Amino acid sequence: MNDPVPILSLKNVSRHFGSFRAVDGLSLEVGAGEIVGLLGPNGAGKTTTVKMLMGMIRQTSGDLSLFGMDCFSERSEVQKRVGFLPDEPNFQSHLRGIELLEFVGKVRGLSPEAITSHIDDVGDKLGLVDDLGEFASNYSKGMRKKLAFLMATVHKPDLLIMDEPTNGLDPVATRSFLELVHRCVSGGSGVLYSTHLLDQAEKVCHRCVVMNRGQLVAEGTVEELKKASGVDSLEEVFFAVTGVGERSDV
Amino acid sequence: MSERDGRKKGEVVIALIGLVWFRFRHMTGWLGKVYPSHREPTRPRHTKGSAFFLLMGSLFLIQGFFLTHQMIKAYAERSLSLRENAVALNDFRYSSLLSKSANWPGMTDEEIRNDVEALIRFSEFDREDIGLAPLTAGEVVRQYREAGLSGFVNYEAFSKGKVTLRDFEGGNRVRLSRLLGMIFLGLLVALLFMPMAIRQKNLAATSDHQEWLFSLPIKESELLAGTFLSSVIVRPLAYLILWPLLTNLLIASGEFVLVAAIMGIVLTLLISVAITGLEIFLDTWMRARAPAILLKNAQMIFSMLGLLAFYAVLAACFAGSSSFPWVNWLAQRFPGRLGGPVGEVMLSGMAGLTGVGVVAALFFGLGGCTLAGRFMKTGWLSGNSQHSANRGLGDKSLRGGSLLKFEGLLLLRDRTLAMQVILVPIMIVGYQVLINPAMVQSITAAGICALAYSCGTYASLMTAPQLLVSEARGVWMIYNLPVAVAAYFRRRETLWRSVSTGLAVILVVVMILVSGDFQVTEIWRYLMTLLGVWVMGRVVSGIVLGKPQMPDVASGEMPRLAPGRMYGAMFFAGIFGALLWQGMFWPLVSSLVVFWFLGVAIWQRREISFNYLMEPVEEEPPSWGVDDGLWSVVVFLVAQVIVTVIGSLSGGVSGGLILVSFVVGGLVAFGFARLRQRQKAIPLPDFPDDGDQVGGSRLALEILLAASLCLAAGIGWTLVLETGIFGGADGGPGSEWSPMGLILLAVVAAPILEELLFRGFMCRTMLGFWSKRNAILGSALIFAIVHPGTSFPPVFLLGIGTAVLYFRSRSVVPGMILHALYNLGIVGWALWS
Repeated sequence: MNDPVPILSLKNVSRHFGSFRAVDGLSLEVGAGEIVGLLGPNGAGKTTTVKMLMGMIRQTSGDLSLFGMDCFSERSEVQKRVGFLPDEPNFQSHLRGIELLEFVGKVRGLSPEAITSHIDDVGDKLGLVDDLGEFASNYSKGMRKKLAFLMATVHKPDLLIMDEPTNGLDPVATRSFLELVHRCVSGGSGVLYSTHLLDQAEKVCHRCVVMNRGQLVAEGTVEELKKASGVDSLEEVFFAVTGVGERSDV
Repeated sequence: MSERDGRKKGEVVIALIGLVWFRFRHMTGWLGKVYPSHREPTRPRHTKGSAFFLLMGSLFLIQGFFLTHQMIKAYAERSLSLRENAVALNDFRYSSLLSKSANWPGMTDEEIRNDVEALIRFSEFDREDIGLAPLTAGEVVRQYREAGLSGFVNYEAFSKGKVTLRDFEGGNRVRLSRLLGMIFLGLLVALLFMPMAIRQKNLAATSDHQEWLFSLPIKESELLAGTFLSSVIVRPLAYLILWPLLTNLLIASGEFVLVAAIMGIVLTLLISVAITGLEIFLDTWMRARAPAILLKNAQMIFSMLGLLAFYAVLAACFAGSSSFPWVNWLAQRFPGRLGGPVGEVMLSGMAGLTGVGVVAALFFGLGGCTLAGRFMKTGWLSGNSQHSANRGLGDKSLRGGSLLKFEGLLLLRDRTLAMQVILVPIMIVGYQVLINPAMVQSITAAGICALAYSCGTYASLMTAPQLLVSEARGVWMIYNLPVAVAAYFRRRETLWRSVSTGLAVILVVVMILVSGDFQVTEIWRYLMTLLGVWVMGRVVSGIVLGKPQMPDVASGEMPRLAPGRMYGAMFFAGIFGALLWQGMFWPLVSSLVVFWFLGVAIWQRREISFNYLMEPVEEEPPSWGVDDGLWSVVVFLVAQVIVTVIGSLSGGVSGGLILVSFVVGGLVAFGFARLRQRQKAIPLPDFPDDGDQVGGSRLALEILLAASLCLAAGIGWTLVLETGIFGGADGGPGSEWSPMGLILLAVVAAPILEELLFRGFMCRTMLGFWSKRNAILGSALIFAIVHPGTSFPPVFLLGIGTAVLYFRSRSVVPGMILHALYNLGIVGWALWS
């Protein structure tokens, strides 16, 4: 996992909303077979970064590329190799889970058998198979997350971009979910894992990038980060580098 | 205990006031500061809508005051002062008739007629003045012979006058006011039903501000009461709908003004209570207990009721030629009281309505409250987790699907949409038939085509925003698919446009069958109708979908669409509809081509703009495209038509008027083009740098060469037309043209304005998306197609010539010279021959 080929690369990327700088000069890379945690307090610019990577919004300046292609102008080409799990997946009101999955699979050119085996495998592990006949707009948050994960991984993507992936999942589902993510990575996929759950990031991520107010404030493996800040846990690192929520002497 | 209760009472009042205020602020979009500042870009969601309703309501009220005052005055003058006399005189005539009729058996018709006429003369009463039911001697004799005296001596026949507010006519101001009133009233009635047709706009929805409310330290029952109360009070639609009626009452009721005012307020509140109760029932009970499918159907039904009400009001208003159908309705329901003051008649009608209102409010209000109270105990915010009815895959196996299947499912399952697309046109036609049955028997091909075209285009217009609305929650998915966003939307638009065209086909066939009127010579019109629906569908959807913005992915809210774009699209669709109705063949063909180009061009632009769907603050960078030039041409044509129509009001269409409308149209279009340039603040696309530029004597030579070539083609074509193989030439400039006027138009105005527009702006902007060759051919085609149909070939050639010169000289002047030379030659030839 040393010096992996970067499949995701951000160079000096900024995104402003009027005078507000949501992302400000961010650079980062994700290589194949690597889970990179994107950490930061609320409003740090994580979701904006993810949206830019998905070609939903355009950067104000800088370069974003996935597999060497531009995220915005070559979005449809890029998306052939990317899976995306948004923080709050919502679905069209009039479709059942199974129909949405079928639709996504079809558009991606998968055979019905491939979709079925994906459901049998991943859907079963997440415990969603029984609910796939229901309208997706009636799903609970956790179920929506599971369905979105099924949809994001149906084509075995080379890069998985996830925004607060375990938000809304119960502990059992979280465990199977993390196993599935590890399986993807061992198959050679890269993962960008945006979260504010530090203990999870510490367990899952090979490398972490900490953002605050749109800027990158720390980067490295968890061990490197701890060493650099001279503290014992990622949580301490987080407080040290973001400078927020500093502990008062209780 | 009692002390605690006393303190609680004050708190309750404060809480209730707070809730009402909160709801008011939420409704009017003044809640901005409650949300964190980073949500600012998408914040002013409600403001535009609220402003729209306030404006609409105010217009409605003004219209109500204005019309009511005039109507009541006319009514009062005609009925109050004359009614008593009329009734007294009728009594007199009736009793005289009865006393005379004893002598009638055995008398001849002539003798009876003389008798009756003497009686009418004796009464010295002019029926025309008071508009009484006609009483002629001939009619009396006829009815007497047919059924004996009892057959016509029905007191009602005499006493039931024909003075109703229907007779009330007015000037243009009144008619415009009435038309506005009809539309506003219909919309408002429809909107009253809408809250129940919209998902997640309700008491129990788990939206952020409602959750915030429930986190306040207020007792559940107080919260329920407060929310209920605020829903009842802060419901502007109820007031807007009823207040014009109330103004009628207040003006008319004279001494009962206070009673009328109180009754109006009570009725407004009652309606509000009933609607709120219904809403709670739907939103709370159904969401929590009923299968999801039931809620969806109920929402569809309410959406349909709203539309039904809208069209019912419109149809009733048109039939009664009044925007106040209730006035007629009340007056007709109380014929015996027609002699009384109009205010009393209306008051008694209102009293009846209030009675119904009380029952409805009690039933729905109490029912809704009881249900809401019960569900508060079992979990108010249990929300929409109900899904057991459809749980499980069952025996549904994974079968091969396709995009078409996905799109078809969305279309079929979205009941509101299906209903709007398929049922609404049928409803519109149905209402017209109901109100005016003679229409069906006498329907012409023009009528069939206009109706089918309107319904088909309406369906396209409705599906366009629905396209985004149905995707709003899942739009992130599309961004994760390996397809271009615009291509995805275009596919769905094409599918739904096919549905619209299919609907038009069905309507044409059904109406032909019903009317039994099919003419082979009208086949072109039917074809134009279907082509029109197909072509305009793309234009209207392209216009409507311009610059939409999706809200935050997470929120799943609806995208914002500009109502102005809907009206704009309706206007442009109306142009083709008017031409279809008039049956103008060549203008139809030209506009079909122009609109087809426009549709393609608009969707070309959507290829770019859809990439910015998710941008909360930014729009796509400005660019020039084929659509810019086409818009200016459309403006050119529309402005010409408007000036010609206005000018011809005072007389016929003269040569001078055509000259004026051409110049005005050209200047307006030129102004429009300049305005676009200022708006976009970027230079026009560059000329292609292909070393093709020439100047000096070479250019002069080329102009002369092109002019002789075009002129030869033009005169040759004129000779061909004169042989009559194309059924004769167009009318051309008539005798009312003075040679000077013709030369001014053809040699001065046309070359300058058309070159500026077609080459200087249209051809140039086409370079934004098209190659030089396509820009030359495309601009020449549009240039030729908007000219009179039979002159197409030489004008097309001229268009190519001027466009080539434009690129070679990088100036519009050589083109102007060529254009002027050509026109001079043709006009000279025409005058000479």
